[in-house]
Amino acid sequence: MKTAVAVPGARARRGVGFRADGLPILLLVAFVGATLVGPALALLWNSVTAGGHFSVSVYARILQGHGFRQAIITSLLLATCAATVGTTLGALLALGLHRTVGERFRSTFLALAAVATNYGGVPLAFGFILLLGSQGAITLLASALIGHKVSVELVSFWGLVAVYLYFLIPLCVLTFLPALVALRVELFEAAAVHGARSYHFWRYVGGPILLPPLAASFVLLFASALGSYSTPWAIIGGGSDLTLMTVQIGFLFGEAGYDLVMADGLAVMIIVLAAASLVIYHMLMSRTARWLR
Amino acid sequence: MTLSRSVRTVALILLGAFVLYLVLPLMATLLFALATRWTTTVLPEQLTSTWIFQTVREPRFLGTIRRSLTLGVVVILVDLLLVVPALVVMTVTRSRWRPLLDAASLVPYAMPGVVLALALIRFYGMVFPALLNTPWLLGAAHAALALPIVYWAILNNLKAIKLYDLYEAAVTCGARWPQILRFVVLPNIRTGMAIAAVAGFTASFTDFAVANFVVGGSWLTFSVWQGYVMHQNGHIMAVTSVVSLVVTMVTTFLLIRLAHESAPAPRHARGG
Repeated sequence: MKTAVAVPGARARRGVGFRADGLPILLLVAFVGATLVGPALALLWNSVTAGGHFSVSVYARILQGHGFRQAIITSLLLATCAATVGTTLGALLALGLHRTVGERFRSTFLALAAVATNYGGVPLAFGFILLLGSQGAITLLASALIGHKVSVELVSFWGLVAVYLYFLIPLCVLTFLPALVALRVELFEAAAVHGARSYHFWRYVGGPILLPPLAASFVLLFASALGSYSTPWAIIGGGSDLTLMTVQIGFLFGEAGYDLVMADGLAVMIIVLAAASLVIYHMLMSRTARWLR
Repeated sequence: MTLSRSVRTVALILLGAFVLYLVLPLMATLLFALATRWTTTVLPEQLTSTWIFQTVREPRFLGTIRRSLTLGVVVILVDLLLVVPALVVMTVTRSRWRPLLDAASLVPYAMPGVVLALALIRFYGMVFPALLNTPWLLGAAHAALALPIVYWAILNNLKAIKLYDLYEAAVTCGARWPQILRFVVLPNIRTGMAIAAVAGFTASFTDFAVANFVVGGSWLTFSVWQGYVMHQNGHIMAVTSVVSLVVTMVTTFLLIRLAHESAPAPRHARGG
């Protein structure tokens, strides 16, 4: 066995007789290649060689087809609206938690938020159907209070936004709350010493500090909403004109079982959007990290 | 700068309203699981435990639970076996691989469940069709899905214990790699591995999109069965939802407890 004794001041980067030390790393990279990168490249390859030669005709067909175009527009609008409302309410709740409540309430709230973030999909959709469906408890209660039948459209754009917010707002609270640590009391005091009022503080100090983590939360919520499948699948079902990119993909290769290249093209579009969101998120979070040091 | 009373009141009202918004769907599900009938009234007409017993007696209930539990355990074992050795080696001898591994660990976030399922089916349909519709492919897909959670939990733990210094000390004492792994690395990253295991298990147990397309009815998991039951019997669906909620709550509280033990907690947690 070669013994690489650690010399003070010099970091021994050679292992102790562990010649194949690169193998675990290669195994992990190979796993990612076989389960993620390879399959993603296969989607791209299928989508650009659909006619037996290189072309972007699949993407042209997607953008020209009314149903697909509608699915893309609805997905983007839904993700944007849900992320905007989710970030706004999430940030307000995080600010409320940061400055106004006791530790006990804060811990309980955060635990509940963590459960809500993980409790998505079909059970969540079912819970909302029980509340806001045509025979839902809140629908019936509102009808009884008003005196005539209230119709709540859960299978609608804003119905989906309302359900998405269940896991998006807690996600925003959990990601944005740590960034509020950057708003140190010293900053408030320094601003006050210089005669700054509340408006000036938020315009020139608090706002610029909190904007990057707020934008990062928005991007995270956008990506999460864009990729959601099981929640809208359970709510929309098969009997609605409302359609999303993920639901279309599921329909194209799961239920309809035809035109798989169109599903490939839509999937590549989602990968590009999600990857771009991820890159932006990390850029914004590295800016935030400067204030948290 | 202190908050005025009105701002504090508004914040408390907002927080209270949001707690209500979070709790109401859970309460409705719980009540529906216990309701004899709840279709035309604001509250259930009567309560019963019939649906709970009927759900447990469903032949698919225990079978799908067993499958999902087995799958979750296999997924975390696969991920830990892949990630722990790779990150230990990277931290000690191959630090220049860090950017590549970091990037690789984040790839699952660019592929939502339904996209990952489609990609795997299309890819293995071309290169290895025998793998289609098998639990092996589902296991690999779930291991890929949980990879970021496991990766960042272990990496944060390795950073916190300053592994390289421990490694140098162990080498100076004449320890070999098997001894270093057994007596130095593993005892010190137990919390990180526990966080990774709990979060990875939750990701696998609650997944519907990937399992529905990769195996569907041929190897029914609990979540996929829920999707089918939803259209057949609402009360049984409610009972299965309560099971999902209990699993989510138990795993979340375990995670919070473990995160308290080892700060900093993993930065990447997957949402629903």
